[in-house]
Amino acid sequence: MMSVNREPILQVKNLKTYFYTEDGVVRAVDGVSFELYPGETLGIVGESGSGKSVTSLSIMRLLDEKGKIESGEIIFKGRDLLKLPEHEMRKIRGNEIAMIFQEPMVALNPVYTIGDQIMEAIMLHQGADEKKAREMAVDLLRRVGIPEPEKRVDQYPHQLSGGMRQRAMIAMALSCRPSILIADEPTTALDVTIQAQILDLMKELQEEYGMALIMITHDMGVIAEIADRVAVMYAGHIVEYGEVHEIFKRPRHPYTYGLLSSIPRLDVEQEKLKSIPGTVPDPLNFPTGCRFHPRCEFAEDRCREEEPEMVEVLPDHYSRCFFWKKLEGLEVK
Amino acid sequence: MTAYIIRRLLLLPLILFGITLIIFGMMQLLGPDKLLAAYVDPNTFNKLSNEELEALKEKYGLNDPMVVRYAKWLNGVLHGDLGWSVVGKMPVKDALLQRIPYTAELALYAVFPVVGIGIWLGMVAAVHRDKFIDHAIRIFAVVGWSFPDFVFGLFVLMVFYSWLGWLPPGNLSLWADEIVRSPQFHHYTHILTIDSLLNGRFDIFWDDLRHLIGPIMTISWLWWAYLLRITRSSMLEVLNKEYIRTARAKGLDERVVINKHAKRNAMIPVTTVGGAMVINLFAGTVIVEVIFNRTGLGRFTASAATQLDYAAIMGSALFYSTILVLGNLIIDVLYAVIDPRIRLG
Amino acid sequence: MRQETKRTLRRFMRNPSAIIGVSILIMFTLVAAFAPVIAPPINPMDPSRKVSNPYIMPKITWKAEPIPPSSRSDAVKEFIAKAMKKQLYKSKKEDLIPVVEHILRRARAGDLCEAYSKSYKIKSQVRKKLLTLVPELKKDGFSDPKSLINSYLPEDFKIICSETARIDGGFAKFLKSFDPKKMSKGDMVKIILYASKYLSIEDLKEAAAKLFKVDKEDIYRWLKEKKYIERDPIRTVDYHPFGMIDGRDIMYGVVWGTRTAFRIGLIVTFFGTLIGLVVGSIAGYYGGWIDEVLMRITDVFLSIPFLVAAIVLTTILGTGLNKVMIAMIIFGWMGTARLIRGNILQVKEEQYILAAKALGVRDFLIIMRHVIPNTIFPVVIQASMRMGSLVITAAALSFLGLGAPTGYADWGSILNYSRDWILGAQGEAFKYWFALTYPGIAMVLFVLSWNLLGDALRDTFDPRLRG
Repeated sequence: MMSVNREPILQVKNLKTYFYTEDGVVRAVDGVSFELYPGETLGIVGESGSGKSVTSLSIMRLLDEKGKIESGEIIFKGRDLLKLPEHEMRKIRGNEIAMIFQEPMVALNPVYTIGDQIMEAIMLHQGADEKKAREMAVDLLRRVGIPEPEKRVDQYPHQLSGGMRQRAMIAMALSCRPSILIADEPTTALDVTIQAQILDLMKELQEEYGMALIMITHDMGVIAEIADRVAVMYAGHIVEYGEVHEIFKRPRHPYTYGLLSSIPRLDVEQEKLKSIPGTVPDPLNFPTGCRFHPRCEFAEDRCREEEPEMVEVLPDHYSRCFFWKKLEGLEVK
Repeated sequence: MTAYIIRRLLLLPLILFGITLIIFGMMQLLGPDKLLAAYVDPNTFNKLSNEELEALKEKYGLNDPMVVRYAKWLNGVLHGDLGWSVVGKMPVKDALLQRIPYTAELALYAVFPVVGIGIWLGMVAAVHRDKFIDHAIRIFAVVGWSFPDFVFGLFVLMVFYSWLGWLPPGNLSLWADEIVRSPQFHHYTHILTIDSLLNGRFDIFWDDLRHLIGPIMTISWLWWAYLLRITRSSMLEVLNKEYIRTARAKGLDERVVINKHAKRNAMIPVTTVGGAMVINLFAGTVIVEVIFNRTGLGRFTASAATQLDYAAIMGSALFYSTILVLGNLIIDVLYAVIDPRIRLG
Repeated sequence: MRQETKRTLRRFMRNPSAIIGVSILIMFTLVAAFAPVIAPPINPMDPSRKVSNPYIMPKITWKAEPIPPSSRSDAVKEFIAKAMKKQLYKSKKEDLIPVVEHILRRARAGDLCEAYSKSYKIKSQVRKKLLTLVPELKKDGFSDPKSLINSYLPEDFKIICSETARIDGGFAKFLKSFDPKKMSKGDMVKIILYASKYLSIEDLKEAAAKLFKVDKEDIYRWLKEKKYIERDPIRTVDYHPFGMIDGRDIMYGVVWGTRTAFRIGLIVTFFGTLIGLVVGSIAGYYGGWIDEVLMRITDVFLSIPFLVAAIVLTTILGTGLNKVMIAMIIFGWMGTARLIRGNILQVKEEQYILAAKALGVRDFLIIMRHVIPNTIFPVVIQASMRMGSLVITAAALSFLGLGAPTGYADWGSILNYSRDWILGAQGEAFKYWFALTYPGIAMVLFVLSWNLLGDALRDTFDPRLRG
């Protein structure tokens, strides 16, 4: 892989983010570590509630007041983001690290025009005046493939279609040429045909701008399409981490194996679609031992009592499972 | 927006028509004898013989079928004929017109502090959620919401009038009243605070203000409570919205996020729900005017009710409802102005 | 699911609003339940017999109550008028001139006619003036003004005089233009006697002050010193810790008033919610023109301010607590109807309703079995929030004299007594503070507890709005 030898642009080390709710402590992210190299795409995949969105919000330090980063480090360009004062952090948000959210419908402010909302970041971080910012906004809109950008720039979010809105969101995120773009399920709320267009656009723009991308999704298909490396999250942990081809071919964690088996495939004849039995555990009281054991077909007594550590099962391929060897013979069809 | 406004405007006569139906319907519960009292000056009424009464009932069509009577009554209402007021000793229309400026003045002076401070307190509470200031404001709100206005008003009177002597009841002190009634005093607008300034009488202006403060205090607490609760919950909801996160993700200063992105959105429900409530403030003057012994529509309505002056209460009810309907129309327009989804949708 | 219920319950029990609200409510419930023990309804005249209706506060003393100095009390006007009458004949002619001047300035022209009809000299002057106006009067609809003017009956003269004053501004001015200095003492006495009863209380006080030559603000105290008004209110008499008012024990009223408050709140909320439930369900479930019609009716009912509507309907139905409750039910169902309709529109789209419909389940059954259970929580929350404001409105009507009859154990009615004292002269205020404070506190706490309970319920079941 081309990026392995380079310095990581972002390093997350043992991040723990807890939510203190009235019902108890929710350990949404419980010791997550990964690296991001310049220009690459890291996919974070998992079911809803696995902590993938919280991870991204922790990087941006945009958690609501109930969420608290308990420990860990987030090193960006040599600086620990968690130790930065708020005003320094603001200079990074939107400027160095930008973010796209899941639902363009609700992620754009309904009472301001698209143009207003794009220009805001440009004027803030680049010190451009209003006229210049407006020109840049129109250019950006054109770049993300919005027709008639001069007209669209003065329109309100509700006057645009879902796909258009997401394009506008991307334009907004790219307005200051960030070095990292975090996309939190950017295509989930969109129609399937538009999903593909948006993914293509993001790939295209990533190459053009040379930025690193963190793609957060629950959709293995999206990961296969766009990611270089992938981190699989389950119940606040990364359970498997490695290169995308490696993981798709040789999953070494039963959860990843389950996820991959549950993708419907046209090229292989299947009698019945496999699915992972059971549901995501209650975040207020995770099971003891391995958090996946109640749903795991390979679970043994040890899994119930002892929590597994991350082990390097293959070069640059990590898994949080005692019995990863059991999966060696099994290939995903 | 035009379509939206036109729809509201079309609905307006329908609602007003409905209101006349309800009020006329209530009046029919009275029976013809009592209804007659609403048409005739009681000085003559009491001296009439039974035959004359029957003749009058015939004359005013009280024995007609319901539909005919409704049509006639509606025709009268449309021409400003609301009957004779025993309490006001004049036609209801004149009695109402005479008292509108007093109540309008009170309501007008109450609305600005209520809206301004109420919204401000709600915003402060929401932004400082779960901090000390938020708890303090919320306690202030829930107590104010539970404090009946007439109990609070009586306490205000007890402390500020009877004890301290600062805020007297009534509309004006006697000396000021005499000047105001004298021909040298010109009534330009009939709103006394303005007129007194136009006449260059600052002493009267001050005297009027002194009489207004107590009632305004009494009205304000309740509506502050309502408005700040709505503002607070609306603001909290907005602060949880994704577009606020988007704004923060852009690296905007928290002040900009709140003042530019959150407040404008939070104002949408405040305008519709809160606005509709604040219009009720106009009706809330009934109690306050009675407590503070102020001349005005409210006290007129109350004394009409206690003295069974049916024509006068019907007239007042019609008037209050019309105000409410028109106020709601204004709020609907404001709503469209604030929310581009309505304006352009 | 059960765990979720448990968690919700725990959240509710931990909410400070819920704790305070529920404990105050329990206290009130106990007071209401044990009212006969706390304040036994004993007939003070004959303790061996039961009172016929415990909700009427028994009169403990039949002695005359002190007259409050309120400006709206007719009793005060009578008192001042009586005192003035005694003084009139003792006064010299010159002393009356400022009083008459004051009355002429402040009285309505038409109200002077009664006095003028009793004085031969002035009557003939007015008559002369009236005769010059005959043509205009005819135009104004008088068929035969002359016979009224020349009639010997004082009533006829009074009617034509006051009617003309109402129509004709010039004539009204003429009526007020008589110079007291040229009048006989008898005429002046007549004017003071007959015209002063139409004066406002403030003007009457001013007139009395001029007559007695004391300061107007002191007139009440002065009347009391001169034994025109006799006693001050009593704060504590033997077994009446909250004091007495109108010869009745305030504590008795506060305790039994708890029952009244519960009754009003529960009955009105129940029936109001029921009507709202029916209207909202029908509108929401059937949609189409039924919905349109029902919602416009709701709009119309909402367009009449609640307090004004309650005042009007209570007046028409006749005063009394039952009438107040009926009026509040008739104008108090719209909130629930709108809420239910909105929720039903939401629930209607859900899968299981579509499934039930597809299975051919009857509409009524669908509403009863699926829709109502799913929308009932917001309704309960709203109902508990409305309890407080309903009790306030009922008390306000009693306070205005439209609700509970005199002597009824109702917080609003007791408060009404204290008002006459507070509105009176300065310095008399704290004489009846207890009649304001005890029922006032009871009412605030009662309303507060329901509001806190409603808040807590909303916070627990609608976490979106939690805060």
